[in-house]
Amino acid sequence: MSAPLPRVVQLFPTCLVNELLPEVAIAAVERLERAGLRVEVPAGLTCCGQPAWNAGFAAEAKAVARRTLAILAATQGPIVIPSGSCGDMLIHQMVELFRDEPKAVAQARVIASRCVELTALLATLPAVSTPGGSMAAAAPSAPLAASGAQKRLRVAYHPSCHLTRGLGVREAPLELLRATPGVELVPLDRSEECCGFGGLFSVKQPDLSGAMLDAKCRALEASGAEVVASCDAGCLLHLAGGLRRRGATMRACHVVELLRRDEP
Amino acid sequence: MNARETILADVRAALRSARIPNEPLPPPLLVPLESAAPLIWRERFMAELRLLGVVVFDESSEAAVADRVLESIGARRLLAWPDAALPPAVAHAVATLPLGQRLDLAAPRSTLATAEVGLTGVDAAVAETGSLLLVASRDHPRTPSLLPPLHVAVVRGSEIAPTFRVALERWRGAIPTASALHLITGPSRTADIELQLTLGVHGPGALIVVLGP
Amino acid sequence: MSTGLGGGGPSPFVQRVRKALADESLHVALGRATAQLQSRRAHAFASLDDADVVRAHARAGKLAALRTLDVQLEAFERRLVENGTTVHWARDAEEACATIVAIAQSRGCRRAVKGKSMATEEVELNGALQAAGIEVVESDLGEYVVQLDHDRPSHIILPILHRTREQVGRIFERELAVDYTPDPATLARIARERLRERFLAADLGITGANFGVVESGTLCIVSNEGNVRMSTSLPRVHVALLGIDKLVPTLADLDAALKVLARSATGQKSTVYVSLVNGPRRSVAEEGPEEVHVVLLDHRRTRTLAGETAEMLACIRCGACLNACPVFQQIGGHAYGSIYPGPMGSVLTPTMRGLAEFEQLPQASSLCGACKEVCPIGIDLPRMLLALRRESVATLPIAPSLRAAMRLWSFVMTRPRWLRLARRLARAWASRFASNGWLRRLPGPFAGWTAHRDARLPVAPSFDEWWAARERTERGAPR
Repeated sequence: MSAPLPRVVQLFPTCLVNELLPEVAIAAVERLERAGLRVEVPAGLTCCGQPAWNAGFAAEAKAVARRTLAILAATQGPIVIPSGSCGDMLIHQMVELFRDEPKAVAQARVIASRCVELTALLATLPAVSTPGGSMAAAAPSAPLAASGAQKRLRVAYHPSCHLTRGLGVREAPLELLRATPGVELVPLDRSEECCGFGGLFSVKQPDLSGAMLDAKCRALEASGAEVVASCDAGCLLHLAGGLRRRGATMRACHVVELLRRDEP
Repeated sequence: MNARETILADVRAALRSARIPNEPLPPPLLVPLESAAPLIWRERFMAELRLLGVVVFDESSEAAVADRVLESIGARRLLAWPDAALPPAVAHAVATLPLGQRLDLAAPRSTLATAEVGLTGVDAAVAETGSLLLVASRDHPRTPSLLPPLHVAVVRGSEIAPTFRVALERWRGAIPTASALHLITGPSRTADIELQLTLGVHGPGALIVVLGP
Repeated sequence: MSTGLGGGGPSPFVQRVRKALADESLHVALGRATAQLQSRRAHAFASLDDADVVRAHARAGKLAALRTLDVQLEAFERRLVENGTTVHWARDAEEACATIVAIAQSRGCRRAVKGKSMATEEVELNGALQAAGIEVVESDLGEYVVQLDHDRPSHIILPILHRTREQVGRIFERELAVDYTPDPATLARIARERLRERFLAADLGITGANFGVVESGTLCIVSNEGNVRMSTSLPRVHVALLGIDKLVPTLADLDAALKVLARSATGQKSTVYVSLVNGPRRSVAEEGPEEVHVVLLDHRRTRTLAGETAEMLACIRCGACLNACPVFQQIGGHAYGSIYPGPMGSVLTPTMRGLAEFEQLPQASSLCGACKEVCPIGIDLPRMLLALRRESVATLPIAPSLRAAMRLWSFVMTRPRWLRLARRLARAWASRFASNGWLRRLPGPFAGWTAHRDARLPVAPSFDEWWAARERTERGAPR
């Protein structure tokens, strides 16, 4: 069986990950490369335009989105996005944003068809053995995976809204976490309920957003998890900030960061 | 312009900019129950009624139906459909009740409201939801299924339709010649206070279905 | 009016939100009720064959009626008249109230009973009737409690979702002079007895309608308690007030809509009483009203129909989006300042009553999409909330600081060199205040964030810096 040539993927780090959670993109690069993919990062990418779009500032959103589309259009291959809401912006909202511009809509459709959320992609990649260790998709019951030396980390998964309801990605992150031997997935009550981030909503309606965050943090604390994992930079910053403010020791991190725990 | 003309003009104006998605028609709705045997409908009907808290009697003869109706009425003051609208055996049985127990439908409403049990037939029954369809008419008055705290309904096996749409199709002729059709699914209920289920708010709090052959 | 970041004191909406958030018993009541309603709904749909196809049919029927609404309204009117019903049209609340008062007065009606109807709440009919000397009593248990307490409903299906049983017991004790009891069954029995007298004495029955079936000229009105059947059967005159958005073209459309309505609203397969009203009694020997009047109400529904929000008129008022909404779960219905709360209200209220006054409602959403997911008609509520936000930005005097911030953001995000400069400034500033890369307080317009959470600071190196460095060392040259 001949190994297929390494495929090229474009990583769109997104603004929040790039500036505030670079470790997420770094982990993404690592996982993608270990799956045999060649990662490229298009130069000059900033943001998808979502903050302005969600706040009702169409002109400002268009300026940013148009530039992003142009940069992505000059690249080849799948576009990998490590954040559910940015993925939803590229896949669903761009078409709406440029609704009255046929040419831009056509371009947005092409880009949308190339976009894939990070965990949705990782879950489809075959389990490939590399010198570094077994792949994320290795079955947890496999003898090699039973790393008695490693304490299993209790992880609660928060399915972010745009990932699940927007992109329909529900199982992929869970499959990845379940296949990671160092991770013990704990159930989270009312897990699909919004954490209250909502972009500018968290700043413009702080009381409401804070109350929703409180409800989510209470559920997380009740789950007994040591870490809350999610696939959206906004939710992660919101959850991490809220947990810190409450003095909780629970950490928040992206699902992709936990996949390293398949290593002995 | 009068109100009618203004509203219609405003609707037309709004429709010019209205964003209403144009979508392909969904595939036809197939309900497996509709193609099932009538015996299945009967079983489903009884099962749904029981889930609703309805007392169901499954009788195999007209005589047994009549006996069960009499037993359900007991000594209670009765408000019933006219004899002609009831199955003959039931009408005959009701005729044996002591004088004065059955209220005259023409009595003042305040008298009708003293009834303790209402007796009706049905125009159709719906298996899928355990519902009774009553088509209002002179011979099928509304109050017996509405005012008393207990409603006893006599249903013949042949009156059971699998679904509401089949029942509606059967009664399409009655729409709109009848003043009203009423679909009744279980006893009157409310959950307005803390979602606590309470039976018998305005309509009958108890429903008995006597199912005939 | 203050909009967006900074400026002025808290808006009335924000004040109501704070009041609701501080109300611990409201919070408990809401949490329990919405969780239960959500699970009942999910359970009810799980038992429905081909649920998605049924929903698609319900949607198709409502949208079909909207697409040709003018033609449908005329056809509906024609059928109603053929059925012996008298049709009236009302442009606004005053016209609706005046029409109904005039019907009552010309027929000598003095005592009205009402079935639960959001349209009559919307036009505030009770006040108009009482001002005209017509006694009116709400007959739905929840609405009865609201009326006794001079309150407003907080949920379109469950009007007293915000009340505990103890509170209802106190209201009955105070208003009906009965012994205090918190037992829902006893309270319902007391209401039954009190309202039974009213039903028997009433000469006017007033209801809304859930659907108007165009092909047959039928009003479909549902209720669980039986009060609607009473209101449409006992009084000699029946008046139904319905919005022009209530039409479905055919009885088949009605069937699909009913299937999803009961499941979405209360988790039932069917509401207990589905009344299909075709007009007045057909002979003097028959029970039923001598006259049936239908009042078709616009009340700015035509505004909602125009443009981006047209789909909102396909709403069948099931309340599922309220129960699923994490914002509604926190604040309940009253905070919205409108009888239509929750996500559907956040679209309806600003379009019907004015965006300037209700600009905050479309903002009060995290756009989580739970509403769209549960909507039996598949109404794209988040899309319309976004459209209303754009309309705010385009037409309202929103805070200059927010406008400036957005322009600056757009400027920087389209110029990577400026972004790098902004990053350097932020890092320099943050390094003086941060602990472990987190801040407890942000300045100016971002203070809202740190009111409830710590803020993460720009990390060095950022991902693009890390990538560039890696490219240089591993692949030889910068890209």
